[in-house]
Amino acid sequence: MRLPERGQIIGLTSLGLIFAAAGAASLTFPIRAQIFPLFVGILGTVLALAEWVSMRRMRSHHHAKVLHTNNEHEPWKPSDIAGIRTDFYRTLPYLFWLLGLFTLVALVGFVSAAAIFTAAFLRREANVRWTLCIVGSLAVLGSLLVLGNLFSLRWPLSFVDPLRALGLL
Amino acid sequence: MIQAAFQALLLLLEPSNLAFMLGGVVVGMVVGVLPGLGGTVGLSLLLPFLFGMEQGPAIAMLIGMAAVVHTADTFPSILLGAPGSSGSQATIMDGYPLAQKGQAGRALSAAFLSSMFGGLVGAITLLLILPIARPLVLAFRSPELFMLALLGLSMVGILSGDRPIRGALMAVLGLLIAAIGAAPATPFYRFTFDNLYLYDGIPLAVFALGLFAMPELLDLLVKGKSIAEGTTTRRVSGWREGLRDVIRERLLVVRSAVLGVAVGFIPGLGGAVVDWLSYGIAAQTSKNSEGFGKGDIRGVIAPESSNNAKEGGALIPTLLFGIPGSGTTAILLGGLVLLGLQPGPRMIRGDLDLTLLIIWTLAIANVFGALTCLLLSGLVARLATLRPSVLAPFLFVIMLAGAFQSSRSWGDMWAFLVVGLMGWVLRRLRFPLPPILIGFVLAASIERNLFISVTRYGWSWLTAPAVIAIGAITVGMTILGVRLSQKAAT
Amino acid sequence: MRCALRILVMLLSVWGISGCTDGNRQVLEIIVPVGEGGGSDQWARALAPYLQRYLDNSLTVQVVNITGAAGVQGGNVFALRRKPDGRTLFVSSGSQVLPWLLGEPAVRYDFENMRGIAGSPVGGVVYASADLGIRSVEELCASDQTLIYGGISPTGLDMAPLLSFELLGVEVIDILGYAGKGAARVALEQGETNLDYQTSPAYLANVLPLVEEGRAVPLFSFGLIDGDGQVIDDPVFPDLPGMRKAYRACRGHEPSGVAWEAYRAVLMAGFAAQKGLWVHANAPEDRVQELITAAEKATGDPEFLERASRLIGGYDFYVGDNVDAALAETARISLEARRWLIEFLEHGFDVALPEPVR
Repeated sequence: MRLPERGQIIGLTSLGLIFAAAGAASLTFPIRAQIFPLFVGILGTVLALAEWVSMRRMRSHHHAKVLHTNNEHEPWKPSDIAGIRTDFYRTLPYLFWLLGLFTLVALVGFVSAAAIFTAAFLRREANVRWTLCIVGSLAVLGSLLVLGNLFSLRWPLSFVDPLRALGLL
Repeated sequence: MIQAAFQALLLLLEPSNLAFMLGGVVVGMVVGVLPGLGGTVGLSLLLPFLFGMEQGPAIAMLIGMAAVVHTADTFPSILLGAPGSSGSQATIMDGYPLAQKGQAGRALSAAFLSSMFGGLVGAITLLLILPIARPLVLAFRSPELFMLALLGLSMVGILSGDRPIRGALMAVLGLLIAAIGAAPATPFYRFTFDNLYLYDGIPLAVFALGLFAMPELLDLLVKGKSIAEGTTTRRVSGWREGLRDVIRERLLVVRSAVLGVAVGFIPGLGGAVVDWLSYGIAAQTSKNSEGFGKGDIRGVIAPESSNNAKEGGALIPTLLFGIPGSGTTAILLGGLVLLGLQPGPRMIRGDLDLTLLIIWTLAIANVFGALTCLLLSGLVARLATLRPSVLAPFLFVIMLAGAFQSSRSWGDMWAFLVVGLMGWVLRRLRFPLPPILIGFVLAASIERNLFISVTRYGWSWLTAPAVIAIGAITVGMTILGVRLSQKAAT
Repeated sequence: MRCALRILVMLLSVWGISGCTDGNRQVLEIIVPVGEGGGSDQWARALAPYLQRYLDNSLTVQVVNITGAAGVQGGNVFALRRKPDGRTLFVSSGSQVLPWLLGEPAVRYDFENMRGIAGSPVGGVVYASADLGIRSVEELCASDQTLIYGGISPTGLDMAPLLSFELLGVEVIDILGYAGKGAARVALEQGETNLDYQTSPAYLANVLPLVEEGRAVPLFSFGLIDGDGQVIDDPVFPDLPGMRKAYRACRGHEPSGVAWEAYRAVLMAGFAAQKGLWVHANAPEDRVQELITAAEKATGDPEFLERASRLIGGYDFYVGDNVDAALAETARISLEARRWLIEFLEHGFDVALPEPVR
């Protein structure tokens, strides 16, 4: 199991560096505010180091132990061969979708953006028929409007907000 | 007191009060089901309606809402692996695997029934403890509170899989992330990089949702299969089995409920830690606990029971001292003051009838909520069979809307995204996620109480008997937890 | 297909309904910079329906919580992102005024750019655990026991008691970092601390029973500020010496000097003008007057006073120009006094604040 382990070594190193940086940064804080983050930084660095050492020893002893953690829900064994990079590439499209949603929200307001996003996503990703996409979109629109008005929910600031202009929000 | 209790029950059963209680129950259910919204959102939704209401119906409505949130929040935890509110995170550990095995109905019904009984136990315990609660609350000074927070942290042991160092590392990461924002004792803002949003730190709802829900949803999308894939039984009505489970594990239900009340009653700790504690202790004290984390129904029963019971516990410091035990009770407190009540010692002397009304509402609302959820569970459980790409847009929208209500600023949405990415990466690299949340939740308590303890007592508090006792239990739990999860992994 | 159509019709009608309810009303937004249930929130929500009653019918009063940056964000949003059209108000409390007074960098609002609509003062009482055997403020000053005060933060309302101890010349160990005033009070009951203060409503509700049981002893009150800017005794606690009397009792002469000036400013900011309802200074005059008139009627409404009495604690509201006057007093702190205060905080509590310039 070499490849996942490489990703993990990198991960551990990054974590260790983050903790060390945090600990160092905390030295500039006033004393009362410093103790906790300093302690946490040191402890974190030490633990990261310990795990790092432990992993290297495992690697060099050729343990092909499959690592279990308690959040392994899926029977699908994720990318034991392929590694984290491939997983990331597979996830990337959905991240782009999310960023697209954020952009839409910034442009036309949350509720409108949600409706548009729903229709688009259902069509492109789920291959749902157009009519059902519209239905889904309207469902989202309707629910957000009702819940939003009923419960005085707030929505993020956006460039324009046609629904608010129409007096619906 | 018995006579007063009876009178209070009659008061609740008056149609107007009952109607408002049901209204509160409905709000609580909606708020609980939607991931990211929690008791705080629900209560703040009801606040504007409070002024001008009579005390009776208003209290019925508020408590009705608070009681049910932790029943309904099980839906997203079991069906989606996303916490419905901060109190139902531990349910995900075994509830979600059960859903994946096609046993969502069983998990849901077991969860609702445990919630109901747990809530009832909570209400009864509240009633019994009320007369003697004052000295109990006063027994926990800052050193004891610190040790209890450490005990909560020790639950990380059982949640670390076979690499305890990683669990500890994640918990410490949680501690670090929680340090973003204001330091407890000094008006100094740490790690905010001059960003005003980070002044208050990352809100719990955003963090929990981002950490668990985002990675899970992304993974589902990539996999392309629905949550309950590969199961032959598409029947989701396993409710009879759930009932049998709860009856069989009735001792666990009661034990967890009592634990829930006990922890809920300690100010500052309650809330998000109770269910982890309950889960951890259930795992460590049950026979054949290797199944925990893979779909052991006891891993659902225990946290759900204590989760509801803790509301009863949290009401004790709230009503008797005016100290909120959790975010929900903080707003509840505000609501009660708006109604003209003044929580404090007067609640048992002068306002006894209202206090008893609160307890009855807690009990009865729990029952109503659980039964309603049971009825709906068949319907809702079918969601687990939908394709993730169909569910995904709705979930994204709901989660973002929920996350945004935390501080109502764009920062919430970005934080959600960033935390989600971080969670995804860590998960992919086989780092356990629950310890992060535990560290995050307990950090404030740990820092604050440690600071006060050391400033006030120097180091002499380490020799106090209660401190040593709790310390010993903590060490024991950690070792036990680590051993058990290593056994489970082999 | 028909199923989908039915759903469509349902949704459209729902959309229509939710549109109708909000169509024609104008909204008066009251920004509360703390979360739901907090002190300012309760105050605003208690007042809002009565303002609504006395305002033009087409206005809906809506309380909106904008939290963040430890209570500063709400003020920033009010100042920077709301039009001065007289349709947005802002609720302040000590946590908004004190950071402004201290010149904290996160504060982007300025009370000098706001006009007061209504305000209410609150008093505070310092009390001690009966275990100390101290019965009065004179005994406090003369005591050589270990005095331990429990508070939340040195730049919050705790500044008032901390300054008062400094003024009286009392040596106190300050344990800061408690989660709230309730927790600090419990700490006193537990023996972890032996000195505490509470605002009047909290004192009356939670500490008075302790006093009656003989477990706590009230020592002095912070006092209020009268129309001439003098610190006077608190009318709600006529038996307790206000800060001025306490100072005389302990030091033997009338209070004066930069420390006293600083105390007065903090008292004003945190207590005497504790809750304030503000509008932008350059809002249209007619709307401002409308608001002030409505506030006058609302705060005089007997039903409101009865319901809000536990919140307000028996003090009188002031309206309009009086609110401005109250806060102007705070701002009138001299440069020396301001410097002294910042030095006091830096020295004693490690607080880093920018050098004051005015």
